[in-house]
Amino acid sequence: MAPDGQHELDRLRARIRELEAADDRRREAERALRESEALYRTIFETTGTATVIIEEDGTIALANAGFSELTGHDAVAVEGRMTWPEFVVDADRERIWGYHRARRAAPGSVPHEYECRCQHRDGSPRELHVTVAMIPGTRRSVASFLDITQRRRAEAESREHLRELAVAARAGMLGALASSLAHELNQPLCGILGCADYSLRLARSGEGNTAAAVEALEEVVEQAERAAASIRRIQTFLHHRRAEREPVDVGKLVQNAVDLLETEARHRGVRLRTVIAASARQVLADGVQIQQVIMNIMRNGIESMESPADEPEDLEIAVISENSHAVVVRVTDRGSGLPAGNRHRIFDPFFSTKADGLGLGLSLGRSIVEAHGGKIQAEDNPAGGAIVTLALPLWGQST
Amino acid sequence: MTTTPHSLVYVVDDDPGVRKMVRMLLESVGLPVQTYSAATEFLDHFDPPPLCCLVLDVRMPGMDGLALQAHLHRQGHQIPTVIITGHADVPMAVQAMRAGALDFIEKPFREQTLLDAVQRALRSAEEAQRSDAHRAEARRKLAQLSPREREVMELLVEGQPTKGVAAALGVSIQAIAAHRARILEKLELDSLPELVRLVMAADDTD
Repeated sequence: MAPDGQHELDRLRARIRELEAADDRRREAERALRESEALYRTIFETTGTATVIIEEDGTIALANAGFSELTGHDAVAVEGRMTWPEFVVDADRERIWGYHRARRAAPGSVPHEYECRCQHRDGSPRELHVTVAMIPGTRRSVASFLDITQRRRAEAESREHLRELAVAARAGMLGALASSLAHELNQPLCGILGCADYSLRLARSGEGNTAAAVEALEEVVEQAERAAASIRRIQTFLHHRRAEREPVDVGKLVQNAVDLLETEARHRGVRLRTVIAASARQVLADGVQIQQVIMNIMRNGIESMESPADEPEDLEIAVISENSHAVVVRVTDRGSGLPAGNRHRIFDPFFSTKADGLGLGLSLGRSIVEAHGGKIQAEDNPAGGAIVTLALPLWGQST
Repeated sequence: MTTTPHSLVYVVDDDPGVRKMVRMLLESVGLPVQTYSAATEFLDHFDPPPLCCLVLDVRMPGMDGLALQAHLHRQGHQIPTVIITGHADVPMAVQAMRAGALDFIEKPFREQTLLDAVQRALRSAEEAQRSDAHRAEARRKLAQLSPREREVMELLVEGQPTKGVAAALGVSIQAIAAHRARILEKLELDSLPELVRLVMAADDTD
């Protein structure tokens, strides 16, 4: 063989080895890719969480078995055929499309976790907690879903139980105040009857003393309005059924509480003194429930201070906005103070220092306050008595 | 309705509406009224004229109506009192009447009920005033007697016959008869029963 021929042959052999090595590397890469795909596909399928991959136009490219279970639709019927927002209930769909588009324009501008409601193929509603992320370098996103229907239902049930308990406790509280409230209504009635009699006498006398009759009748109107206001306060407190949260002025709640307890306090020799800060004091709350908690704290104070024969002592109710996060109601009494040795138990259910107490007032109060994201605590008043403080998140500042 | 000159009605009630109504009613029949929102406020201003009465609410913060009644009683004031209350329970009514309340009326009340009760209270004050004057007069008369005459009078009023008095004092029946005549003369009386009435009037305590 000519040296040239030999040289050419070696060169080809080397080339073949190179190509064979490249092919091996390619095979290896393909195998790794297949392995990786299988790995991710396995994770995708078996993670236990309903997950989908969503195209830029909203179409679901890939859906796992969890998603099929969650929605009742086979992956085959979904993949490439349905968009993600189609699964969402009408009321939430616009919001979800909004998130979808905004995430592709500016991913940081929308929450990567949110809640929405879906409908299962069988028509039953599902509450979902959704976590979404963009797949880097693509216009696709991956979304996973947690079915929180049961949790939400349990929360709603526990809220409902709390509400029912609060309604019953309000009826109980008004029952305990019945004697004072009857007295409170009897006073204006007394004024009305006396002044009406007097007006009648003036009218029947024919003496034409109009000025006196007008004065007496004005008093009838004033006292009737006073009685009506008392009844309205009681009805609002008793017949409150909604448990909706709305922005309420804590100062107003304290005033309502004071109005309802004024007579009771007076009869027990206690003067109610309110100090209400002019600053922001709006909270997002079920106002009547919060008023109920305040009244409960006040009643405890009034009862522990009871001394009808002596000169009345002050029970102070202050509304303070301590910082930009919380509104604080502070009730300061000069009564018998926290129970020695049992101070940590006063918020426990069925703990009471009163002979006829059920021990539910403060424990219910704590449940209500905590359900509002607030805090309630009690401490000794250095001047004697107790100080109970209720803090609620201020509304309208950071929210 | 008659109005009594120089009389005064005190009203103590912690409810401004009730105070205003009671004042209106009483002033409309010509009665001067002073109203107070608390027992202590009333006591601070209490300077009773001869003819007055008190319209008093039971349930008040601080000193309540019954406590005020008891306080006045301890101070020796015999002011006729009409109790008004929004919750008339029997034990409270009994307590008030025992403490000398003249009337006990329940809120809400008719105009006439209050006016009648106040009028009765003022009449009672007037009678008390009259019997005070009567007692003072009787005591003044009895003070004219000598110690011996007083001794004789006391035995006579006890119902002792002249003979018994004579025996008790160790003197003659004639001497006692003379004393007896002298006593009736000094006191401007005609008979023993009149003497008994005079002594009772002088002894009268409330």
